[in-house]
Order: sequence, then C-alpha cells, then structure tokens
Amino acid sequence: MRRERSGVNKQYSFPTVRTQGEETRPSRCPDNSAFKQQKLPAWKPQLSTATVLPGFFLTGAFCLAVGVCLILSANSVRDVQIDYSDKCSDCSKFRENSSNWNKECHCSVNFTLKEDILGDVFMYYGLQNFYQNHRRYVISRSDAQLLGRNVNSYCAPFTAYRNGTPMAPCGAIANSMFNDTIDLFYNLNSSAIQVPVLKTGNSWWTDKNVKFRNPKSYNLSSAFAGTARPPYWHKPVYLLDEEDERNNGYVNEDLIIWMRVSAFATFRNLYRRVKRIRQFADGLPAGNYTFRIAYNFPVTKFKGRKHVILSTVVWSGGSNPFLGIAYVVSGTAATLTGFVITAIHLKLRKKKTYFQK
Amino acid sequence: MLLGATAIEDKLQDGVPETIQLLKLGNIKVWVLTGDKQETAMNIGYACKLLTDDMEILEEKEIRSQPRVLSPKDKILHTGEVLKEKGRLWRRLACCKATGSQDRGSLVEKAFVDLATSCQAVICCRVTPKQKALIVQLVKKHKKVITLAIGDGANDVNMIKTADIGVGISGLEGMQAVQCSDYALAQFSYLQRLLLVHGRWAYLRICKFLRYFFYKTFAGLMAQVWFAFHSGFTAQVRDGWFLALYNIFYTAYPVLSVGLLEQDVSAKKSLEFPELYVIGQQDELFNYRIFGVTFLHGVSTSLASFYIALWAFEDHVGSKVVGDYESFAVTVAASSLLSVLVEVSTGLPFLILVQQQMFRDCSPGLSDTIPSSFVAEGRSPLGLNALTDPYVLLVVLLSLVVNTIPSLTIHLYRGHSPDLPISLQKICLKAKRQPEPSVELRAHVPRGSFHRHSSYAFSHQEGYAGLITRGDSLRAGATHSTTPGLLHPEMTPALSSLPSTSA
Repeated sequence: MRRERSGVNKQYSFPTVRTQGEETRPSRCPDNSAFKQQKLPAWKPQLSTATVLPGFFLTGAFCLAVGVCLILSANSVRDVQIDYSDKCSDCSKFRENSSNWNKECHCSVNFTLKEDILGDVFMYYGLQNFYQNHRRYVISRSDAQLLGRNVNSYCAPFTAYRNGTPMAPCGAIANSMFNDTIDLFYNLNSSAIQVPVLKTGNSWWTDKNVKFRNPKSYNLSSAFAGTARPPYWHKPVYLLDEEDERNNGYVNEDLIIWMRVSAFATFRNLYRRVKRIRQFADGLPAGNYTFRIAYNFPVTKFKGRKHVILSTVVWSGGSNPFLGIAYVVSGTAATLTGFVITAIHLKLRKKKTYFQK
Repeated sequence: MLLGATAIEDKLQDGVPETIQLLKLGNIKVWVLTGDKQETAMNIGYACKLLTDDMEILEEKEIRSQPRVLSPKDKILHTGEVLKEKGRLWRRLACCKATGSQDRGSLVEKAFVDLATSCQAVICCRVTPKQKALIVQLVKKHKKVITLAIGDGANDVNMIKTADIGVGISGLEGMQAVQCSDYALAQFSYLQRLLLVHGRWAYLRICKFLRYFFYKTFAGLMAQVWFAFHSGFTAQVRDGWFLALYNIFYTAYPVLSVGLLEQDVSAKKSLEFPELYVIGQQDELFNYRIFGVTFLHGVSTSLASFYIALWAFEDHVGSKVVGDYESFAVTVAASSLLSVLVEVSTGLPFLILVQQQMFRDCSPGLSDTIPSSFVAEGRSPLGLNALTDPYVLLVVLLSLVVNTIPSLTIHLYRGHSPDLPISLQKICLKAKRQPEPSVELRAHVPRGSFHRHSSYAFSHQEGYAGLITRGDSLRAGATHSTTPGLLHPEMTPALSSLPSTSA
C-alpha cells in the first residue's frame, strides 16, 4: 500500500491512491491481463537427461528399422544400365558434324538378362554432364505459351526467327529436347519381337492437364499456324505424336517430361513403360535383348554421355541405397550417443553420492 | 533551559535500503552525488545502508593530505590492489568540494576513478549540478562501464543527460528530471524492477533473438550457395515466394515470440537472485564466440539438409519423377525449415494453445499458401506432388534427425537446458543452498565501536550538540570522544579506528 501523498503540490496531474479501505486504481497502470503483465502461462520443455534419453533410444531404434527396410527394398530393385554413347561411337561422330542433322543414324546395343525381371518395368534415358540446372537455361521457357496463349518471355535467343516467325515452343529448354528414339526388341528363337511400351501416363497429372494446354482451334495444325518449330527439332510440335491426338502438341509427354528440368547434371527421365501383355505379362523374361536407337541427340561436344536404363520400382524409389545407409548410420549414432550419455550420467551420479557421503 | 527544538525531516522513500542492497549484489556500484553537506550525506549513507558500520571510510582529507594521492597513479593503484585483496574490508570515499581539484590532470583523474571504483560505495557531497555531470563523464571516460543516473530534481538534469541511462523520479520536486530522462519511475525502489527484471529480460530477449535470427538465416538460405557448386555457379534452388515468405511468415512466429516474451526465470526469482544480472555485464549471451558458434551451427544445418537431399535424389527413380528441380528445391526447403523450427522451439516456452495453433500453421504448406492464381498461370502445386511421396518425407525426416540430435546431445552434455548459461544454474543452485541474509535495519555492533548510527544529523555548528547526544550534563568536561552521528570537520573521521571512550 502506498503512502498517501499529500495534496500540497497540486500542479501535477498525478493520480492519487487512497488507502482507507477504498482502492481506486490509478488510470495509468497497464491492464492486469496476463499478456500485459507478462505472466502468460508457459511451459518450457525441461531437457533433462531423464526425459531426453528415451527419445535418443527411440529415435535410434526407429532410424535403424527404417534404414534396414530401405536397404532391403533398394536391394530388391533390379536394374540394367547401359551407356550407349560409347557403344554407338560411329553415330556419335556422325552427329558431331552438324550438317548431318537431317540424316538418320541407327545403332544397336545388345544385352542379356540372366533372370526374369518381374513386375512393372520402366525404361529411362539418362544423361550425364548435362546441366539442366543452369540458371539461364532454367528460365528460358514461357509457361504462358505452353498454356496455349501467344506470349513469349525470357525465351531469348530462341524466341523467333529472323523473319519474325515465332517458335513454338520457345526457349532453350524446349529447343534442346531429347530426341533419340529407343526401341526394345526381345530376341526369341532368332526373331526379334518389339516389346510393347506405353508412351503416355508417364508424366505428372498436373503437368499434363493443367500446366500444358494446346491452343484451341478446330485442328491442331491450324492451332499452330504462323509458328515454326524450334531450330534443333526435326518436326514441328503438332507432329510430335501423330497416332495419339491427346499426346500431340504441347501436351506430348516426352516434351512435358523434358520441360520438368532436373536438378542435377546426371539425371534420368522416364521414357517408356513396358506394357504387360502377351509374353511380357509378368515383366521381362530372361533372354537376349536389343536396343535399336535412332541416334539424334549429340552429346560429345560437352563430353556428355547417354544411358538407357531398365528398372523396376519400389515404394521407396529406385536402387539408390544412400538413404537406407544414412538412416542406419544415424540410428546407430543416436543409439551409441544414448549409451554414452547414460554412462556419463551414471558415473556422475555415483561421483556425487560418493562425495556427499 | 531547553525551550524547544525544531527539526526538518526529509525522509527516505520506502524500500531504498533494500534496493541498494540488491543493486550491490548485482555487481552494480552505487555512488551518491548530493548537494548536501558532508555530515548529512554520510548520515543518509548510513540510513540507506549504502555504508555499514564495518566499512572503513576514506574521507577526502585523507586522500588529499596523504602524499600518495599526488604521486603517479601506480601508487594509488597499488593501494587499490591492497584494498581489494583485503576482501571484506570495505571503504567509503567521501569528497567534498574536491571535485574541482581533481581536474588537475587526467592522471590524477584516472587515479581517482581507480580508487573510487575499487571502493564499495562512493558519496560525493556538496556537488553542484554541473559537477554531477562531470563526475559521470569522468567515470565514463576512464572506465568502460555503463552508467545510470537517477534523480528527481532539477539539479539532477545534467547528470541524467550525461549518463548512458537516465532515470527520472517523478515526485515532489517537479517534473524536470522526468522530462529529460530515458525512463521515469515513481519511486526509487522501482529501480530494482527496472534493472533486475525488465533490464535483464530485455538483454536476454535481444541476445536470444539475434542468435536465433542468424541461425535461421544461415540454416535456411545457405543452400543457395551449396547448390551453386552443382549448377555451374549460376542457379538458385529457392523458389522466389519461399525466399520472400521465409522470414516474414514461416519462421517469424517462434523467433518473434522469443524476442518479445522470453523469460528465463520469473520476476520473483530475478529479484531474489540479483547475481543473475552479472551475465549481462560480462557480455555472456552474445559475443563473437556465440556468433561464431551460431554461424557454424546454421551452416552445418544447411549442409546436412542439402546434401542428404542431394545424395538421396541422385539417380532417383520413381513412378513419378521426383529428381527434378522443383521437387528438389521443395525437399531441401522443407527439411531446413523444419529443422530450424524444431531447433528454435526446443529453447522456447510453449505458450497458450491459441499461439500453439499459430505455430502449427507455420508448418511448410508451401503449396497451400500459394493462391490458385499461380496454378492458373502454370505453376503446379509442388507440395502436393513432392511432399506426399514417402521417399521425400523420409528424406526430410532424416535431415531433421541429423540436425537436431547433435545439438540435443551438446545440450545434454553440458547438463543444462539449452538457454541458460552454466553460471546461471550454478548461481541459482548455490543461492538456494545458502539463503541470502535479509536486509534488516538491525543493530550491528562491529569490533572497536559499539555506537549505532542514526539517520539524523545535526546541522548546527558544533557546540552543545555533543553534550545533548552524549547525555551528559552541560557542566561535564568535554572530552574528545566521538559521538554517534556527529562528525566535526576537524575531527579525524575514521570512526572505527578510534577507541571509543564515551560512556
């Protein structure tokens, strides 16, 4: 309780407090709320040894379990990877000369499967030393144009030809699209059967249905009237897939997959999926196979390489065992740390009781 | 025959002795600069427990008359060292009107400041307002300390303006002190709350806020640098919207609430343990070392988030292509953001549920916060694709584990909770075992004197006052004995050193 201040000095606008049983609160006090009096209810996690040690062991056990699962599933993936830019060296040299651009070059690569590959088999093409993550490359596209509008942005220098014809699609990403054609043949009794593959259903649903739209018109070639193909392409965009109208134009899945640029210099993109019919109903049977490749994409100039990969897929992705190993390592580390801390804690506790005696 | 007596009382405010005790315990040196004369000032010093009976008192005459004052400063420093070594021997330095003479040279100034700061309390009397400011300036010039001046009258205005922190007491002497001050209080005893509670909390909050801010910036955004190594030093891995919203929205709430609401101990405990104040004086909560540690911690978090995602994604083969540019960016962003949030939150008190709800909303809903116009323009909702892939979730979880386990280990190894420095806990524990002696105005009888000082001073000239207080009759012979509370300027003032002979 405060003393009553005498009212002698009347020139202050000083609120007074009476103490004779009557409490009139001065008007300048802050509210008595929890926030303004800084008395908010709070709970601070007390990180003492007893509360955190079980967490260490739990985390360690969880990480070990997940790591083992991941390693096991990664090991169950069967994959075959073939570098064909080496094997098709004459085609590579042929492609180094850019005046051969409109001539075809074919190449065959043989390989043998010792065991069946069971399940869904995916065919990928892989590139090495191709920096799709370069900044000028990544921004060299026009998302508005790919939605069917007539806008070009950031596509320089692949925006239009000198005579003013715009390129469709514009930009460096589209221009450098991977255009090798890879077919897989199964050698059965000295005859080669082409393995049936699926061209569609390989891209993201949102890409195919939302992000890429063809311009509207009564047919596709008129929709792209007045535009020209990018300089490195052989065919204009409305001839990318003449068999399937829904895979033609901008919504062509190969184009879509290529436009989703990779983050690394060594990457692989989904190309085809094996259609499970006839003798490939369970997957790929063991035997001799041949890849027949129409070699169009030149990689020697930047010392790149090309691969074709056949692989199955599990819930955790592919055959990269890194995550499993990392989980096992961190699980072990967490458990070991838990043990070490327990040991230190027990030793210190014993020391304390010894001295207290 | 005594017909009557008049007395003018200028009472001390409530709580002044306790406040001064607390400040002294908090390693804050208290100096009194007053315009009163010496005996009044000394009695006030005794009344507010600034001086106690077991202190040795150095008066200005002693210093001036001793030749060692005028000699170079190392003699004084030597004396000061001797004083400090004696431990519990406390000294008080009184100087009247002597501030003019100390300006003889900066050497003498430094000697004076060294001597004064080695004393436990200093009282300067007969000080004019200008000299008050000069004394503050003197201390600031020769010592690297923060000065706080508190006063309530117009004669304190100079001092309040010169000091680093000026506190004005709004009271009976007018509002001039309040108007020129940084802080205005109503009573002197509120100074203890201002310094030991709010000042300490403010220091703690600022330091923690800075640490967490630097940590989250390094942890979240160094991934750009690491990605440059893999993209020919050109590209950036962060979506523009993520960059903009990272500081404003995603990590704002935990860091801001640390900066605004953090309390390491409650207000009551802060007042019980003023030793906690020493942490701020010694710059323990944010210095170059802590900044370096924060930098390294942030960099290691970003390294772990980036490279775990990179190595896990290389050649990633999935039914959906998840090794692409944007998914990788989302994964790295999610892992570093979650690690930062968990790391900041381990030292953060979880406040009431409403605020917890806000905390949950900060979780990386990168896709959810992007308005639908983005989808129309062609950007796909990345979060839905990437963050629902179990592989990506496992990558994020592993980054989280790798980032938080080491820091938890270090905190446990130090044996304490993450935010309190070690000295703090030791102080609290030690103080709990030895309760502080409470400040009471109790009779204290030191050796050598059984006199008790009162807070009353006789400002009359010497004469009959000694007779009155001694209780002798007027006709008794006056012996040169010291009487309590009375100090003649001519008498040697070191009370505890004189033998007491009065009855």
